[in-house]
Amino acid sequence: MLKFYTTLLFIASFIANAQTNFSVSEIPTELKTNANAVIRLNETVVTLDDYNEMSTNYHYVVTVFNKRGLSAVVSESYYDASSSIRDIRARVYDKNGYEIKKYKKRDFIDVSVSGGNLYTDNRMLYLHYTPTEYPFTFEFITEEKSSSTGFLPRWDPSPIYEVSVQYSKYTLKNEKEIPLVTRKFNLEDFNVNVKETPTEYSYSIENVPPVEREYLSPHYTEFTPVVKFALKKFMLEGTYAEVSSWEDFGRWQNEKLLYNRDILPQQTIQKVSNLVSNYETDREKAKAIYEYMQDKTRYISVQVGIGGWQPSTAEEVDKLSYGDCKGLTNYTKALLKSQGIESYYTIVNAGEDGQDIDEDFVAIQGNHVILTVPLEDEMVFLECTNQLVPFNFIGTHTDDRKVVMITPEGGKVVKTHSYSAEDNMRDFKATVVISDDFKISGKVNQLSTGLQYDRAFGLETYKTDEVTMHYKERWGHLNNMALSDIGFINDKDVISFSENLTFEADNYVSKAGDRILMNPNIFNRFNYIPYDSKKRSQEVEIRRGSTYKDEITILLPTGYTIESLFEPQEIETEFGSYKSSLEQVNSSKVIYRREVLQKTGRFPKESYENYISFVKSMVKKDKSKIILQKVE
Amino acid sequence: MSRYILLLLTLSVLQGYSQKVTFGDVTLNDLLQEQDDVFPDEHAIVLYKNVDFNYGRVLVVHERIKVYSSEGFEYADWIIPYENVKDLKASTYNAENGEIIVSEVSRANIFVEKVSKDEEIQKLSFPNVKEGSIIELTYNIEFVGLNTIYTQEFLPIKKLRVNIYNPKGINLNIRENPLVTLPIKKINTGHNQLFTGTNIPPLKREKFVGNINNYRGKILIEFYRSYITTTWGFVARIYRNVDWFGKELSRSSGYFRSDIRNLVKNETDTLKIAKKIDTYLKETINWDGYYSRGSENLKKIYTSKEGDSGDINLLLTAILRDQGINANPMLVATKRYGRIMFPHVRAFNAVVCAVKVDNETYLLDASRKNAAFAQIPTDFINGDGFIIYDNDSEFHPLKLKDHSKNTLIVRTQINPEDLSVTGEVKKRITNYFAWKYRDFFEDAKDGTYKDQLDEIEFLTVENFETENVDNPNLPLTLAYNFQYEDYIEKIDEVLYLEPLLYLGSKENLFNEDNRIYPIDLDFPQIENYIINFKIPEGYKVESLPQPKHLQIEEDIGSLKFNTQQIGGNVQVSLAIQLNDYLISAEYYNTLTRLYDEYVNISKSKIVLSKL
Repeated sequence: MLKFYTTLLFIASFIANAQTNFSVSEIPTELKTNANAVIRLNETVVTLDDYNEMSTNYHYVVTVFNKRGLSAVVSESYYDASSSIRDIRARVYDKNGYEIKKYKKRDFIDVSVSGGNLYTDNRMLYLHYTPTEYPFTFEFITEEKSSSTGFLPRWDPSPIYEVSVQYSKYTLKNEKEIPLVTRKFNLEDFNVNVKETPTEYSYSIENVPPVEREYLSPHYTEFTPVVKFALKKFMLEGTYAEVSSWEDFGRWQNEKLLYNRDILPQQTIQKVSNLVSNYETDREKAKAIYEYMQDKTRYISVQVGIGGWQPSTAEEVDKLSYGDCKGLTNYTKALLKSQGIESYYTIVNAGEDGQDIDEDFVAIQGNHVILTVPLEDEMVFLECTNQLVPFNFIGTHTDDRKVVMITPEGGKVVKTHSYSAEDNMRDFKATVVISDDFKISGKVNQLSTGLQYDRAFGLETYKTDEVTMHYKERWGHLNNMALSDIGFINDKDVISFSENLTFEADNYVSKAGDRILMNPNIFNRFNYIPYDSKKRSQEVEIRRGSTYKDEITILLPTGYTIESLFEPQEIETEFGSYKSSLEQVNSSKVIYRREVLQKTGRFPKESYENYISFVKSMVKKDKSKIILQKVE
Repeated sequence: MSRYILLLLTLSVLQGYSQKVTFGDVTLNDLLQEQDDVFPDEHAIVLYKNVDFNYGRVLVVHERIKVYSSEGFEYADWIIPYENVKDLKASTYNAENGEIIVSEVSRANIFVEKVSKDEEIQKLSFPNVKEGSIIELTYNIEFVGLNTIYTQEFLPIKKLRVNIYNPKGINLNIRENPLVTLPIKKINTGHNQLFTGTNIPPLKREKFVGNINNYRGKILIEFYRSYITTTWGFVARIYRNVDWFGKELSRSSGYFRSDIRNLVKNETDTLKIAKKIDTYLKETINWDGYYSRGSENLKKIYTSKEGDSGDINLLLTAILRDQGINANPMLVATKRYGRIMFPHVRAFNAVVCAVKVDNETYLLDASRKNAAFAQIPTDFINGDGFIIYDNDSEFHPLKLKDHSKNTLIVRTQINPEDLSVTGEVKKRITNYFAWKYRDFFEDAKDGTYKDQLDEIEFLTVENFETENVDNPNLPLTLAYNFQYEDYIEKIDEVLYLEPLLYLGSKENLFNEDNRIYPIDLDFPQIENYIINFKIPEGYKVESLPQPKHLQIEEDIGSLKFNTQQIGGNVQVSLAIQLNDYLISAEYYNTLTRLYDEYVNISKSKIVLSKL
């Protein structure tokens, strides 16, 4: 009965709130400037009735000024087997705050959210609202109940660039004082109003101006307020957990999610034993097993089993030859285990801009699983969802970040491989003939290693016309390009990718009366200059540096003499260096050389201008020309 | 969502060969084959595709795919967009040590997904798929109403067989898409129509295509009642008589009469009255972003001030008619919806209003606030529109005659000291270019045009001004001052500068090797630049780029470039004109040449030397 009353009370308080004035004129000017939308109100109340029961009341109001602000509209709510949506409603107001539309639960559409997945249990109720005029205000109210408590909503009041926040408040009620952990970021910088008692946590913020997206800035969670919560005792779709350290977390995963899921049919063990019998070391064996797995399986995305957190059994993957990241990783682990090689199921935040697993926040994290093999000399990391990637190469998908390995002793946080600016090398060589009718032709060779390999090796899987188009787009400034003899060498042991091709293009040079101007840097030029923001507010983060070497041998057309070559050019900055030079071998042959180093690193915000000027001077120097004069 | 499903449906439904192939009849030879002789480059190929369609009763689908490389694995995940799928069989075949190993898809590997309240689909993933595998699937569905069967996909089809059985007493019109020619034969045996084909090439993704489905091989099945032959006249009669079109149009019009009377007042010129009403609706009624082919309740639209394009344009027609103007609804099919193929109520998906004044027909769409009077969206320029009169109907060609123009007049000052150029620009933007500008920069606030200029390397723009942004009936004008740094190349006291400043083109977008589909450029257009360079003190012209004049055959388009010294100035002019906007693929190479020339001109040099 008591519960019933509290629910009623919530509804009452929402109705009271709903009567506040949502007229656009009520928004302070500083929140409107440079904003595509303003979050007028964002109120979340999470009530923990027990370690296995929680409800979330959510009230969100946003005023949208233009199309780009539409991403700030929230009009969907998710549910699955262990959660339900008790209430969901929405209203639309015009610029004066008058209600123009009203939506009830039955107006929402119930769909599965398979998205890129082949299958998932997750569903959502959503409303598609097409605005007919701007500005408008969208109000959204939900009440959700869940018996899964493995994830508590986080407070992330300012999650969208160019959207300001008028008022945001988060309350977590914990009458039973179920033990939990909190992690708080950047609260002082934003004058967050914090109230914490053993039974209630609350955080609120007012009048946050819009944050502008800045080129090469760190992840937004590094400089906006965020509070995260996790229970030390929780349920995950019927699975109980008690976790207060990474050791506990690992033990829980081992006992509840991974236990007995690595059993293989005897026949497969026999096959693998035969396969590795020729190899001596664990590394060689692990490599052979990894390649066997790559050949045998393919990746599909199916999110089922304990909220999508439990892998399919190794036996099933063996039988079907497909699985998701968890299934394929667990399968590879089982194959290795059958040969006495230890390996650890490893949880990671994947993606080019993926973040560290937060070591100080013991909770379910991450969105991907890889496999770690602890060899004597190094940790080997295996991406099990890709058929093509070389052994122990993880690329930008999971490089250089903290991950949690699930070892028999429990969870352990380690860091994955990082690739240095020197490792990430693109070595480019070309020989080019300029004919008398100013066509150019020649041969090109490019060798990519490190993360440059990651960027290049996919070319091998392109169809012929896609390969041609790739080069035409890459060197779009070469007119009417024709390509032939395209060949690739993918050396998976050294991890290098070599591209060879023969090319022809029209009208390369610029004519100026009796002279011709020609840029000897025929292929790879810097031409993008990032926007020059006058007031930079964030650090400059270059997450992955690179090295570029170019050497182009050019045979000049007959009937012309060299009138002018340029002097060697050199730039040296904290961000890296640039060198280019010309060597005149004889009257008709010059060699152009360029070497660029872009360093990995974090640089203070004050240095952003220097960074821009570094890029600008590279763009300028890459346009330098030589002049040929017609012989009379 | 529904379009997504339709697409998947087309992926899964189809096959070919006059001789039916038995499920499971896969040979070791097929499995060992490493590439196809006709399509050696493909990641996967449809070996066999068979559709038996007993109209309205049962649809049987049988499909077999060979996977050549890991890039083709995506074809091993299937979606069957139907409920109550029967006799589903699916297997993967592999060759191992000279034997065929069959892995069946079991019930446990088929996921039934409730996509929405009343839609259910099946998803399945074939087991043991490797490079070289063959996958095969068959199923049937009862009581399915299908009106399109695709005969072409993004994979080549080696053997296709589509058999449509036309039961007694049901009249079907069965036709193929006339806009594409494929190696498909048709045999008509009374109640059966059999289509067979071999080596059907895949659809190709190309730039500037519009809706590729217009050029895709497909069989269209239309059901009609036996006692009436389906004609366009019959379609028109349906529109005239249905509640949501003809009847709604002729309902009482009292609700708007006094408003309109106030609006029109003493105006007597018919065209001016039409313009006033068009503007009035654009200003008062909000478009909800959807198209439709009719309207349920015009009065409600008028009072709620919101509706789809069918609502708004039928309302416009009703109001104009009430003013005694010769206005009639015209049905159109948008490019995205697809070309009109044969007489059918659903051949169209949108309505505009056709007004006749002094023997001139104006096509009005009052749903788009940024459109000028009688300017309809380019998505509507798709074959013919169909005008429904009170007692008659007729096709009216949708053609754009007037060019959309960008005209720039630039005056510049060359600064040899810092190798920059400063100047002022006046730009006049008309027709669809202006509409695009208003949609993009004014409504969406997708940045501003000035931001876009500022993003050009080394360009800084100041004193940016616009005129007539709010009035779609007038051309838009822009004016700004600019500084363009690092523009001049100074080598040995000689200045080299490109004649088109930052208005030149560095790359040719028309760079495809073998063009198949027509090039859809949306509307006829002209880019016109006149640039005046003031020769700096102490310098003289040493050479100027050669004038150029190029003409594409059939008067499709042209390029004119000229340079001349006039006193202390160098004057450069460039005009690129495209008269056609749906250009046949055979002229692709000429189009490429024209834009190659644009790139060449852009990097040519004006040379100035010291006196």
